Amino acid sequence: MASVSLNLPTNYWQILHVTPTDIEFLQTYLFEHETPLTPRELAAVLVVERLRAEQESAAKKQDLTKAYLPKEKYAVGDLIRFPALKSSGRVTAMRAGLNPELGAFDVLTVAMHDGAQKMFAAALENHKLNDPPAEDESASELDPEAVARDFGADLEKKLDSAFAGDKSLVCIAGRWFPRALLLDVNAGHLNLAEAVLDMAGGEPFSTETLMKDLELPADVNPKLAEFSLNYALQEDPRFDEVGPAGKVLWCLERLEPEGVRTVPVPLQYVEITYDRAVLTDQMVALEAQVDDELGQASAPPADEVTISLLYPHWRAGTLPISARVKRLFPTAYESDRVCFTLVDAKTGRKIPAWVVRKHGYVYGLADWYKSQELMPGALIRVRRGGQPGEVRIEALTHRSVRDWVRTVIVGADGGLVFALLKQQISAELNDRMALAVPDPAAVDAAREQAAKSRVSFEDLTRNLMRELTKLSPQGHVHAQELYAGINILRRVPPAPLMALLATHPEYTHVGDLHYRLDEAA
Amino acid sequence: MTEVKRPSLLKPTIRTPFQIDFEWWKESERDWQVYLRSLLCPAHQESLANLEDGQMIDWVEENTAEVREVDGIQHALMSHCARQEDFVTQKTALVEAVFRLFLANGNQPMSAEDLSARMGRPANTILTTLAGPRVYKGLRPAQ
Repeated sequence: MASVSLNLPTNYWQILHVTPTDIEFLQTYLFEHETPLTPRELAAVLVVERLRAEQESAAKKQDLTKAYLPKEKYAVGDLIRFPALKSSGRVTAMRAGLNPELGAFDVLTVAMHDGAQKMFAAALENHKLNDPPAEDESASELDPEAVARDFGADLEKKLDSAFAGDKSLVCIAGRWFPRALLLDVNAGHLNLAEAVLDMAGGEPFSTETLMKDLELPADVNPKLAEFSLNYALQEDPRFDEVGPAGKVLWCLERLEPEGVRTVPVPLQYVEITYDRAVLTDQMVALEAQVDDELGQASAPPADEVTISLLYPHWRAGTLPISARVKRLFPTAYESDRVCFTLVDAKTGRKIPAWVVRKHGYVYGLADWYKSQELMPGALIRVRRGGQPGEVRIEALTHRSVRDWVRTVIVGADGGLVFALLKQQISAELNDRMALAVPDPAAVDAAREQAAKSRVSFEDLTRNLMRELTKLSPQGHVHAQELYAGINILRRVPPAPLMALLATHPEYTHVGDLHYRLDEAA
Repeated sequence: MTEVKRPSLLKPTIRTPFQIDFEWWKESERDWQVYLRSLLCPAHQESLANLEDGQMIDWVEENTAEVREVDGIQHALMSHCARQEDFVTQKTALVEAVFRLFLANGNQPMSAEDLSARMGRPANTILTTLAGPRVYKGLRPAQ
């Protein structure tokens, strides 16, 4: 087909609606190529097809109209298309032109399709429009690469949502494929895969590695075989896909660490209802600053973040995935749990770890915390590593010194007492969140007892406030100190706690997020 | 009722915009067309020799070939001749140079300050000349 001038509206790709015709075309494409494709690849295919269809449609329309060239002769009644004006119209009158410098030519009166009346030269030998410029395919809306670059993300979302309701397609690790073309992966294959992963003792394997031990048909497209195995493994609850985005890794669900399969007890949160509107700007800023995975305050993602370790994370051997650190850790298209490797920035030691996306934490740091002699409130620096996907972690440790630190002691009645005692300190601390916990098992028991006795959030806060106030000569406590303290007994994000401080008459704000308890109120 | 053009009571400054008042040419019964024709470059003097004064021609737009009817001599003067390097030189008399500059820019209003920047002559000299009691070549404060 000859190339024709294509004038797409500038917002063509932004307002594009994925039609049933588009879906049918892409399904046919997938059937013909027998290769699973990502939404990005499918979007690229769709862009090329849409441009082809628009070209075809434009070509049909052009058959009825003449392209305007000043040197051509036209007659009254002719339909003319004016590429330079991106418009067209019908010749309604014609006369001889008058211009001593141009010689003889015609002047056409044209009724344009937009209702305007214009005059154009005809039978004019010398004019630059007589050598029409080549179609400008570099225009961003006509260049498939530019379209993919500028509008690809939007198109991918539209395709994903259009395909999501289509039962004839399946999606694995971000790739779509027709269900009907999947290879038959039987129970025998899956049992064999389970045995291979069992032997690995919990180490995730790629699909390619698993395929070496399974006897899938050899005469089929390897990508199709891999995709079919991925689909069968995904549908079987024994297997869990744990690879980061773009990488498929399989693990046996039962061999995953307990703290990955279920949320560790110290991190389990029973939702507290509160009115977010009562939070002041200062409170919202503190919420973003404390890097709580349950926090809602937005914060710009950064390439390096220093986190103050909160007691529940210290106890569970986890790190919070807050808004600030979210981009540092690997993510996945579908997997809730992603297996990856952290690198100790000081020693280069590799630490196997897991991102538990749904609950917002990184698991696998208990031994590392112990080896670094960290305590709650210790500062940990997390930053992007030199290699793609690498995350480096560094405890801000120093030579061990003895210093006064708030220490958590569990009383004989199971209640918590705070005392200022000298402790060995091996890392830089956030003064407001630093807490020495000499007997974590006793604290676990106190937590369990508090949960069983169903002490209300309000009572728990009051009790903690009362205890922490005793350590302050001024008789007041900072919201962040209270946040660190209450999380020893119950998982509480900063916002509900600060909402309580802002609204309950017992708490008086004495400035800069310091509060005094006035039990007579 | 015939509208009578009255001089502005405000004293012009170097920032007061001026332009060619074509009505002045009619009122003073000077032959505008003859004067314009004298300013054409030699090539247009020849090609437009047979064009009658004030006759409209079909001007063809360079990019779209759209046709517009324009005054043949005036158009050639403004679009071509006035843009030639020797149209205004250092030797051109001040009033003539101002007049030609207005022709070259399509008679868009310019102040003595603007004209000074283009001509390299003192703005006050230009203002004194244009704002005096006598009107030269129809150059008046823009209405």
